[in-house]
Amino acid sequence: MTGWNEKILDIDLTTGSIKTYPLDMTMARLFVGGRGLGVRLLWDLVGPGVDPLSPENVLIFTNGPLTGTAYQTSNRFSVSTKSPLTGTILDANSGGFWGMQFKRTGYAVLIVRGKAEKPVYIEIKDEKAEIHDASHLWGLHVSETTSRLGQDRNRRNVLCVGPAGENLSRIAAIMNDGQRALARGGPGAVMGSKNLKAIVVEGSGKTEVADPEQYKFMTYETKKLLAASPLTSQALPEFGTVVMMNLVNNVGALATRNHQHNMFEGAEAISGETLSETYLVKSDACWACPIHCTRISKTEKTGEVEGPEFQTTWAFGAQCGIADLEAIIEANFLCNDLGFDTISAGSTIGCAMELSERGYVDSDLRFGRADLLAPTLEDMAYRRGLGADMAEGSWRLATTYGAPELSMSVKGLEMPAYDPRGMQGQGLLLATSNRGACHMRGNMLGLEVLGLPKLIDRFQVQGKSSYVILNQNSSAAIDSLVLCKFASMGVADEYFARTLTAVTGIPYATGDMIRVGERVWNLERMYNLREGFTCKDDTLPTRLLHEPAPDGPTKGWVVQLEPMLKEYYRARGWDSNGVPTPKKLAELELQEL
Amino acid sequence: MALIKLYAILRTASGKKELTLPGESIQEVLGNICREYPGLVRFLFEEEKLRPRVILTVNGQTLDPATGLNQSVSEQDQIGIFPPVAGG
Repeated sequence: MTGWNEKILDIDLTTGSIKTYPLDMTMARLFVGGRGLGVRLLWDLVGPGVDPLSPENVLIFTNGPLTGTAYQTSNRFSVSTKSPLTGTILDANSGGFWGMQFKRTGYAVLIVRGKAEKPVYIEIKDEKAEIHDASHLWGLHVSETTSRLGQDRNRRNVLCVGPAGENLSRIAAIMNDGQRALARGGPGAVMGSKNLKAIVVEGSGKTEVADPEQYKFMTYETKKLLAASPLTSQALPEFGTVVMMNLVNNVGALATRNHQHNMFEGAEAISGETLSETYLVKSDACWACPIHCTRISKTEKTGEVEGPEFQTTWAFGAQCGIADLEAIIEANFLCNDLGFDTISAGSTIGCAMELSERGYVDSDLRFGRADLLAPTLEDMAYRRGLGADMAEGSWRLATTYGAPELSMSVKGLEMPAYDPRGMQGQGLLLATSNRGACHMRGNMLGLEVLGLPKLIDRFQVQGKSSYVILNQNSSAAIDSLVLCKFASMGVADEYFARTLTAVTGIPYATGDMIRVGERVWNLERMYNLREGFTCKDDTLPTRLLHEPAPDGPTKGWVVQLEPMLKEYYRARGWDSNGVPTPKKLAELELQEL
Repeated sequence: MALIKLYAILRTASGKKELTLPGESIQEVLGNICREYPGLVRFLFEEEKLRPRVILTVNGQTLDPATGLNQSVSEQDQIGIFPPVAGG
């Protein structure tokens, strides 16, 4: 089979051992790469009850058969681990250049186990891996670490943690190429717990393809389609993802002030349109990507920096009651440099603001206090004062101070910008997402607001589950390819299946790809059930279930989760407690679970 | 006259964030926008039909272009017009 690197690099930081062995190609065929391969390996390597911050947890970095082929958006890679924030299975993926370079080293998978006695970094040059002392790097910010280790755009690439990960913040990200993030669920804390500061990759390998003519044809066709789609050729390059701010606010689905409101009076001030007129310098792109959704912004304090994205702008903006775009750009940069998940960081600050205003916490934090964003993030990274509790994420913070209902999270993962009282299907999707509330595990925004591919009634409850399931399965399939979901805004899933076939020589139809996604989804579900999660964890914050939305076009609505959930379990082929049946598992070739 | 708010490339192309124009239905309002701002035609229409994925909201409620263009418009209405946009 071609496309895949057929080797695993397995490093044990406790013993210092470095081993390589073959990738199980039957597993590769069933799970492809990225998220799929990562979560399948995690099932075997991290059993129930393991403390995510103990040496028994592992980090599994994976690429896929398309990675590094120059097919559009084939730059992404994944990390899989057990989340220290949620306790669920976790995968996160990132763009930039590191993934492509990792593929060039000749490995499909890097497993990191154990814990080094002192800070170390790993260097992989082609197939040779070494562990080096990192005492001189420990404590440095991400940008300085990345620079000192010789980051060189598409020749040598650095992945590292910043102070947040070193200090085991449960919302710490792993950063790559300086400003890209494996963000959600706290993988940075896992890396920090291993005393692992960085992983540097430098490779010269090329990916072979089975059918070069068909591969070239698919790449050419994809290029044409992405150029023809106004989403990928105009909206995203010109305005970035922050273009969503005004639209989501307009329909009354922009979570505001810790989800107390669903519209923000300052939305225009922090919109993609305003960013384009003020702080935007230019757009940029990941390796092999024609879409150019990346923003490069500039403020006096930060100089030219990447970002911000929509979710980040929302998290430090509407969620904190802040309409100061400059402060948001600076907060985004700080998150990148300290190594934080911006959604969790911003939303945790929003939670702290409400706790403070309601008297649960003695703090100066108040909604609208843009001046406190930067110092608060520093306090969180270094665990100073209230920052020490905030570093644990909003659910642990709110629980510590006696008001867990004020954490806007699912399974402990902070929710994204979309207030599901304005999008019922989105509510079901967030409640059932395997890694906690996540819009990147399927996103009902397309169907319920954008008309992508068609518009459905966002307030309707019955019938939503089939759409949610398709979105979740498709999203898992794309994560296993590991491509960028923005490519799917211009290109149908069929093109990805045909390209995978051309690269690997294995026939994959569209249905096979979606089946891969369904397989991954069910495996993740089984992992969480094995950890003790139940159907009771498929829920949303009380506020969204019982407090009617107060504003605008969504006024009066709550999320009607129960009927949607019953329908969802049935449609998934699970029992009434949300457990995949033996029949479903056998259908997905997961019978050994 | 209803208030019409423009977003993204529609602002850049027209130089306007919002306008008021007559029209008894959404279809009429769109027609009047294109007459006043011909530069917007290519972003909104394709062979005289509304372009796929143009998003129309009336008082924050999304309109299905397949069925909603004949919806009547009142003076208190606020119409949002978005070109095809996407994000995460």
